[in-house]
Amino acid sequence: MALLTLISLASEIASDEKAVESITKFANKGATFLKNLMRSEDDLPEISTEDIALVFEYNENLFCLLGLLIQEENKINNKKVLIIEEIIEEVCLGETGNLQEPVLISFDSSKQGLLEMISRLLKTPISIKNVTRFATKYSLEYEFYDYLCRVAFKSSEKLSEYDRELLDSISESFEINRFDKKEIERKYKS
Amino acid sequence: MASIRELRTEKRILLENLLDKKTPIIAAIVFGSHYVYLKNWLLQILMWGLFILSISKNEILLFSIGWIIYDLTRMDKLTEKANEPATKRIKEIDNLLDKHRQLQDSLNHTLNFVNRIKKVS
Repeated sequence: MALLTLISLASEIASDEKAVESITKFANKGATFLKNLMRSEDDLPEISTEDIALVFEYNENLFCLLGLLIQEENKINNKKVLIIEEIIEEVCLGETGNLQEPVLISFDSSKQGLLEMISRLLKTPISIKNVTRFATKYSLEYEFYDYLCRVAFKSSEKLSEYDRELLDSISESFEINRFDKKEIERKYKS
Repeated sequence: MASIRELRTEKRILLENLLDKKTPIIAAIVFGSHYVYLKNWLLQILMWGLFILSISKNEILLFSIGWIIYDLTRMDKLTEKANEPATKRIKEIDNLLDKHRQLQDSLNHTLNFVNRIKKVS
């Protein structure tokens, strides 16, 4: 179901404004939730607006980056979408996810809403420079590159020229040394 | 979301009320809201009835025993009916408390995630 949503949404041609509007809407819901949370609750962990903003920023950067892998010639590679769906489950919705369903429900949103937002992020063009700035600030270069390799290598037996070039340019921008780069790639090479 | 402290207090009071069924036996008979006393009394009569039946073999006692068993089941249904609003509310509270616990767990995961990122920066 989630895959279908992703594919159908990814096949739509959405403008950048739409993507931005969706993210803003989502963030506003988060802010309202935080206000209510601070007003009422007894034993809920204290979480600040900055923390939530950081979670959103992380997801935005990661999924925009992964989106670069599926923007090749405007074709949808189902295998890549499947792996990205796995990553969404792992990073956001899974057992240790950063935006699990109960939190989303408190935002007055849902799993579906998050998937729609991510599918828009996947189509939103992002500059590698911006992602690099965020990744360097929080030392996430290796983590992001690992996710990229997972999508690129696990989706096909042979890496396409586009994917190779993209991985090279990102690893260069992230300043990942070639030994570590090979080590990460070897994890996913079949 | 309602205050969790209030919900917990409400649940405790409801549970205490459910347990507190020591209505005087006369009132129980008059109002038909037989609870623990009446039930115990009926159970004692039943046991004595069965004991006397086993000794005397007087079959006429079977009728009274049958009536007491019928009365006991009827009383259970009445008690259940009387307690229905409270049990329903307890279920609702349990549901809300469960949602709260889930939200607490999820927020902890979000916080762990944020701390992991902040730690390495």
